[in-house]
Amino acid sequence: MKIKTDKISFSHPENERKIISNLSLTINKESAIAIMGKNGSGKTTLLKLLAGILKPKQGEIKFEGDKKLIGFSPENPKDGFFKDTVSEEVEFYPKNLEKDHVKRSESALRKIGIEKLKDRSPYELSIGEMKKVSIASIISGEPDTICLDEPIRSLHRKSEQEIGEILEDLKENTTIVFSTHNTDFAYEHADRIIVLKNGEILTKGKPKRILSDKKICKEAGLKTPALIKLSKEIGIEAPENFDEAVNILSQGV
Amino acid sequence: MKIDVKSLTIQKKNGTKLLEDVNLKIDDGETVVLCGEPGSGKTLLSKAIKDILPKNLEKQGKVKIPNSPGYLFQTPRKQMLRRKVIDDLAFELENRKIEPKKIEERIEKYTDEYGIKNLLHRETEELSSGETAMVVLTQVLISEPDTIILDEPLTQLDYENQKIMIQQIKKLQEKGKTLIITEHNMEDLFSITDRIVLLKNGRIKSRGTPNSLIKELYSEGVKLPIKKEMEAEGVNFEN
Amino acid sequence: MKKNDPRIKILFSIALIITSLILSKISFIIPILTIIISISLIGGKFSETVSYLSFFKYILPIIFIINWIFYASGGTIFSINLKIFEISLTYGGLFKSSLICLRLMTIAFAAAWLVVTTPPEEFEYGLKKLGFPWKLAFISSLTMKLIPEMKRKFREIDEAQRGRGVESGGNPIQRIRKKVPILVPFLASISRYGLELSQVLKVRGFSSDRTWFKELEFEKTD
Repeated sequence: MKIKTDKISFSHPENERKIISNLSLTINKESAIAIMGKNGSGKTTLLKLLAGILKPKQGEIKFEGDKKLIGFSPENPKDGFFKDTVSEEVEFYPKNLEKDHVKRSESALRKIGIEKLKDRSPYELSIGEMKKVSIASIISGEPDTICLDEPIRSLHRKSEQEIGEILEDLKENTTIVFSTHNTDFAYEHADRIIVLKNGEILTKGKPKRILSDKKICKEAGLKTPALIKLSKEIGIEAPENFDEAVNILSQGV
Repeated sequence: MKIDVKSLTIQKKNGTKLLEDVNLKIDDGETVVLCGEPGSGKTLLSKAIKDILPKNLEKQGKVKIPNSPGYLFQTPRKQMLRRKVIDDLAFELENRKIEPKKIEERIEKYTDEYGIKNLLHRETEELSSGETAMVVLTQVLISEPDTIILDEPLTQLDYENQKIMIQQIKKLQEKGKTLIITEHNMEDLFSITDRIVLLKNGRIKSRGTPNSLIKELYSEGVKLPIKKEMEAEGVNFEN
Repeated sequence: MKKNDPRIKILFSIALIITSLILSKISFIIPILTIIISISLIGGKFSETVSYLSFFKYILPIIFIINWIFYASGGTIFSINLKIFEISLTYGGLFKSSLICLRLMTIAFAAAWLVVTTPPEEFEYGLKKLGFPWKLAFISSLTMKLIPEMKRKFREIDEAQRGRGVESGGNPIQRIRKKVPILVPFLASISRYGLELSQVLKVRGFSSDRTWFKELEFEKTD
């Protein structure tokens, strides 16, 4: 499925201030797109527009293709929880779609690796577990695109890695659009980055090119990924990920 | 000895121990970071030091602290109780029975120092996250505490505001304040921390200077500056 | 006293409310309603006040019709005969129901106007100066402050659930059922807030025995 926005703008009914302005972009059936920018640059709003949850005030969004199912996972997973058990939570989306919710829920839990949590109450989990439940509860609908709002914020390094692995797994048959501040994570897992500033697109393209560009990072308020910084310091080509960097450097420079 | 935590144990009514036999001494002017996974008890320990534990928990042991410390919640917005910034800044001072004239002087002084004078008549609800963080920090410091506890001060901020917060932390260190910070991301705090206390499952697993704990912190999932992480993986940077 | 002293506004609103409750003639209540609407128009707060009462437009017609039927008296305008009972719309009922609704509108409008024109802190200070215990006044002003935040949270939860296949529409019963996934997390977030509030209050040194910064503001204009 393809999502195409054509000069869209958005503001809340309460105030005039444009959160998104004149924004045009296309999301093809590609793997993982990171939306980045300062707090207030419009990341969450753009995600909600792409997910079809919000309608643009001006401009148009076209959803082309067969499936037209887009899932959205909010920044605070607790905003979505209302069932007694994790499995009921994950069954909710396929139930709404009138699909085999039991089967789909089990499959989603297995894919995320949280079957052992299925009878637990969502409210009692750690933040990392909650984020995983939130993701499971939207992939159970089997949408072909999912929008994740800050999937790794407040997470501990281990949980962050686990979410990263989950995303790499999901990339095979789902388009993932996610917002994040974490440039290291975007560098490792995004195939494309869209940088927002004041509700407009500042630039977009391959993570390596954008995040190595000091000027862009400064203008957008982004932190240069640690791997890129380190490789520039040492004078080597930036490795794809941490493990590769360890391998290269262990062999001596 | 400034702050003395003795044999602190905190448990739920059903007996589950959330913190067990914690002993900790913190000196004047020290910057101590409480590290650990979510659930390790670091935030609970910071709340115990401030004496704001949830009522349904049982506490054994003692916390000795000479003066009331300031406390910055992980989500600063929670701490704002007034609609206007100026009233919010005055709130705690009113509670501490400080004369209105003196309140006015302090507001003048601190909003100047922390650069938020232009925000005084704004509504707290409308502030950006960076502005909120600065206002709440000022709100904490305006009562002039000697010790300040910061619960994950960087997590909710974007990069630029994180830089500002680090600067503010350094300024507080220069003023000789005692700082207790809970964090699981030591990337930016590593070089400015005197001591790290690593918690796991409610117990203190180890404590020491940041450099002395690199391997352990890394294996416990604490994020470190990338070079230190690589050192923990055996990379030698002596080239 | 300062022109916009909150005490005046509070007392004024209360006076309007009490008067509209006492009066039993429509011809007396209409002027009162007109007074409060005019004041809000002059002050420029009319549309904001009305937006606070937006839910009213669902409740008011229902109240009107129920009272019209209930207070049957005088000549009958129209009546339906159902097997078990008879429903009559009477002139007497029309009169009584109009009275009740006008009263309600006046009270609601006066209360909403007070909320819209008075910042929570002034409201609190005014209540305190009128002799209310401060803790009570503080809680009411905190509640006022929280209303826009709660509206926002409600909207966020609604949006989160729309990302999981909750679509709007359907018959009234379906519509109510669809509110459950929004209400449950909403109530959960309110109770979480309540639990944290006691911690926040303690951190901020909450105490009834205190000084009043607002005094400076009100002294200055004397």
